[in-house]
Amino acid sequence: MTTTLPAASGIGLRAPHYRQVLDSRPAIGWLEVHSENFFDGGLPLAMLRRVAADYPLSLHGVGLGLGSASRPDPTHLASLKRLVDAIEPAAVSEHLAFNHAGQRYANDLLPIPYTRAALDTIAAHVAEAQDAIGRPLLLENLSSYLEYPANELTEAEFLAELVSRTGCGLLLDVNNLYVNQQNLGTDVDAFLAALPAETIGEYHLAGYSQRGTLLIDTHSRPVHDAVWALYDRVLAHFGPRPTLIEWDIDIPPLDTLLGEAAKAQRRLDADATRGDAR
Amino acid sequence: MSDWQRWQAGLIAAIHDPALPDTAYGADGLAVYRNNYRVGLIDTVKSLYPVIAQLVGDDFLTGLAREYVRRTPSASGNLHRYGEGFGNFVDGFEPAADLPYLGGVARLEWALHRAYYAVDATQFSPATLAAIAPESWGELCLAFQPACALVRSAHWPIVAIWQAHRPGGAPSRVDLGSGGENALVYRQPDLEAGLLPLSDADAAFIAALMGGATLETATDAALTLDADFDLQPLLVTLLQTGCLAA
Repeated sequence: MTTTLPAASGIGLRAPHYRQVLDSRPAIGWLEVHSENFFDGGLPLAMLRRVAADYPLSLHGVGLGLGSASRPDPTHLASLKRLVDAIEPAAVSEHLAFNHAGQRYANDLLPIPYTRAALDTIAAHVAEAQDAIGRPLLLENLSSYLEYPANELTEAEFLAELVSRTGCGLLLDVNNLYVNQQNLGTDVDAFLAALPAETIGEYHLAGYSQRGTLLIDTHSRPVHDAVWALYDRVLAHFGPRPTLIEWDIDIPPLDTLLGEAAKAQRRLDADATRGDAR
Repeated sequence: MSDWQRWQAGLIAAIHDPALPDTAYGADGLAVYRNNYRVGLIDTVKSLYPVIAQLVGDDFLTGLAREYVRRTPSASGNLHRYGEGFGNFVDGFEPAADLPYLGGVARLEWALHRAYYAVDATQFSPATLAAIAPESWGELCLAFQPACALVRSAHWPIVAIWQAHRPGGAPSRVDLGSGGENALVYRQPDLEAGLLPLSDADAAFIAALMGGATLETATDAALTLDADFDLQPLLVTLLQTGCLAA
């Protein structure tokens, strides 16, 4: 079991809404936060303990860079372990991305080479992280704007290999998949077919923006219609899962986020009804 | 290093240095990552230094942050760790030479930032002290909370400047000729970061303790600066504010 989140919609909880969520306790299935914002103690951690007392909570890491050729930073892993131990979240997720070479970092989610050689190294990093925190991770597919020129596997095949080697679960970001389809020509049918359904523990939805000919995964807008349509396909293919609305730039009022989550919830409910009929 | 590892190291280097050619990675995609990197770090630095923003204005702070980011590659996956050396950078940055107190104020703001996120630790209990015979107190080594940091300025009233330029308030005048100031940054009971102004002797005492000195050695360090240094009220303050760790 990689997650105990409910198969309902949730929202990403960000600093502008901490106070309002704690005071008004909105009706929402679950909440997700970025792990690094709660390293290592003090007011942020105290606030998160209060949130965790009232909602199922997911910790979503953006800075471990498990896809780096260099090993994960032991300090970062220790901070994550401390946080996981303190909060006992319903899910812990990271990205299949790299962010450092030696001690030099880019605080971003960079695409990794999907090769057999990289797979050996990265599977070891995933295993190291899971050992450190004492539980399995959900690994998220990436949106990317360039590719390693000599890939031997697709991203989905690489994720499936990591699942079988490390016992990790998957977090399917529907917006990322759509962005990659548009930017890189990713074959969506082949992508969905390659993922082991039972290991998918969570979906993400967000809004992209456009820059020149590229779609950029900015998490700055409502979910686009084309992404809702792809979400419907994903639901038909894999069935309902905990589904998150992410919004990180130009963060709107909480009610806007809750409205997006309600849209996702209606689709989850409709899919569950279809599932009953099946 | 194998091909894929070289490719990763090359991409990080190309993101850090916009002067490197973009041909190996594709100009459009690389431009996205270069922009994310630069803008993300500049915004991070600016968010850490709200009092500097009050002192110099948003445009000048943006210029300082841009130059700092250009010279200072990120060294952690945790963005909250970025920006530590900004105060030292400002000290040595020629266009800021007319504002020689900026670096000290920036070091104070960094300490407050870290105090906000620092790991929690058990507080030192006054009962521990009571259980030790007073004649042995001199041999004690006292530990500080991870949130605590000592910030000293030999020449500039950094505490007064900080207090007079907090965001949201109306800035007030500070006499720059009033001499150097020191502060102990710590975590208040409400978990917000706060600071205690310290005399030079107090600061010498705390610096010695933080360096691992015994209570007696630290007291001697303070007495060399101020023959009237009184240990007791400072110790009471440190205990009452929860600055000491078990």
